[in-house]
Amino acid sequence: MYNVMIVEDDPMARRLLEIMVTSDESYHLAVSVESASVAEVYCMTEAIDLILMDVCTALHASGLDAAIKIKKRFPQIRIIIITSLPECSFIERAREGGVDSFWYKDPFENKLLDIMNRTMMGESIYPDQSPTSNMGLATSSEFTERELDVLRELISGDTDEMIAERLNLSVHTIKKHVKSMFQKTGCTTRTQLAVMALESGIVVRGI
Amino acid sequence: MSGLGDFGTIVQSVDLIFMFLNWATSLFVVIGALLVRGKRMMRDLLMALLLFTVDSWFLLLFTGGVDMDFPKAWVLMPIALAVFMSMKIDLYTAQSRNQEISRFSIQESTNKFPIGLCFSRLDGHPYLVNARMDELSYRIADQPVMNANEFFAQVQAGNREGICRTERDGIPLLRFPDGRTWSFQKELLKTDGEEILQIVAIDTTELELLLEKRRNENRKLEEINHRLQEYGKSVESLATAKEWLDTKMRIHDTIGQNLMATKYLFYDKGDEARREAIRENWKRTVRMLQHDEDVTEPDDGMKYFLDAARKVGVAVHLDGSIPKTPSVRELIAASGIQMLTNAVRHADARELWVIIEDELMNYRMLFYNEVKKEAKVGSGNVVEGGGLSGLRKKVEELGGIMTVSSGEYFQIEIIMPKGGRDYV
Repeated sequence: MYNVMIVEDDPMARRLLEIMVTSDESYHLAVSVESASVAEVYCMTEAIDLILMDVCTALHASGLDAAIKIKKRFPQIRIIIITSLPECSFIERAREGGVDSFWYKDPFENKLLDIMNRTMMGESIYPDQSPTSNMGLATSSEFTERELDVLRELISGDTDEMIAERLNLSVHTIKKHVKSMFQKTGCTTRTQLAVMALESGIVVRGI
Repeated sequence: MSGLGDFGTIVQSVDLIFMFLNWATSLFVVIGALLVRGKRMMRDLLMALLLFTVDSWFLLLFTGGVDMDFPKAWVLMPIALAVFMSMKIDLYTAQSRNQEISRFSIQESTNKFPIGLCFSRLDGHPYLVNARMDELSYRIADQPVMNANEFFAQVQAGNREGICRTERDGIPLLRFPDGRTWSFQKELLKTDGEEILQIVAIDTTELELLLEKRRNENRKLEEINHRLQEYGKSVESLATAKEWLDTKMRIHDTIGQNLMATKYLFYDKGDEARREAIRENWKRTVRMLQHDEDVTEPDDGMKYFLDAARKVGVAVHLDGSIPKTPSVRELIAASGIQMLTNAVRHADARELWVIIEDELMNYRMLFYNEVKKEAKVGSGNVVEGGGLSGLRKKVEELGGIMTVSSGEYFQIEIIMPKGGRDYV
């Protein structure tokens, strides 16, 4: 029997995961918490075999960062990242950080148990790509990697100068990318673009 | 020609030489006037040309053998030539004066500057003060600049009625009742081994208006950015609400399926295993619905911290009351969890102290735990890993200061200004 830790801030989603874990004889629910910031401390005191980790958790704690940290310190613990946000960088960051599997939440499908079983068997399961999301006239796949970097910074509400400094680019390049995104999405202002990006979940900042 | 003989000839010869010299000097003054430019020089040039023409006419007239009464024409001629010569000398000296730089010419030219200028010794004794600076001095101190240091002290004070003093980059700015703004900059210049004080006054009214306009625009931009950040936060909860709705739909579907299966069971009894499966499904759905009813507001961050400490067997000694500001409460919880992680990981600690002090301007938070003997590395700096540096970033984003120290105790001190920035 595997000891499972659930890290999920949404009470309803957490309850669903708890029911799913307790309903299967192969798993034992050891800990269920709301914030990724406490996950590491539980790993030190409990014998955890598997973590189901949400990305955006309580206390603004990043599940991805916590998972990467735990994987470094406790490589034997299997971790599955679960999220409903289509942010494309999550998959790449999870892979680079050595996270075992990745699952996009879907309440109408019962695939997670299968992914848990396969992960515990040593398999690494990742979706081919992040879910396609619409943003104005464009779909998420139409943006270049650099444009998404700029868009991710744009939603902070900072100026072009500040964004350019953070990304090590010139202000001119930032303006060029923003203009290109205007053309693709049909947006006419930066605020419109930022609001659309936030609503679509294509980019998420600070996680 | 009268019969004065040799005397007449000598006078005529002297007159002719004098006439020629006069003509030559006229030519020289004309050339001089041509070389100097400017409106005033044009007037001098015209005068020089007139004198040159008259001189040339006299020279032609007398060398052309015109028969004139000796005493009348030849004696009056030198007088006329002397007058012309003195006029030319005046013209020449005027030209020369305009080409030379003297104390007066500097004063005259600086008086025309749109800026105020004052050069003085270190003790304030003025070398040069232009008209604009004197005018400003009258408006500030009711007198011209008598001492540069005293004048600048009055500018710095800016306490004259009707004058509004501000500052930009350490430079004093005075706004006068006429709405004009002047900046006053004092500098120390070194020239030929001597130190000179320079005060420059510049009319920055247009610049200030533009800066004010930019400040207003930046304020508007900040408001928009703040609203955008607030929106960003609410979008997170919107996404959660959407997830919740999806889940509710799923529960609704499950209930529908359960009803269908139960209804089917009434018609066709089915076997025990099937009945058990349907019973399990109902139990699961009811458990979910019971929980759904229980769900109220999300838990406070402090609860996560205290729950985690209790579960891992660390006693938290809390001194002081937790502020009500959500961002500060969240920061205390995040700091506490970070301390808890460090305490368990590095010090195997069983106790953790949290002191919160509500000061006039700040909240002062102190977190510490005992360090086990073998882990003590003496007091001093701590190398901050991902957790501590992440916490520091969070503290600084909120406008606070964080200090970490280690020795007998591992300690984090956070000073958070009241009314600091909110979480982004």
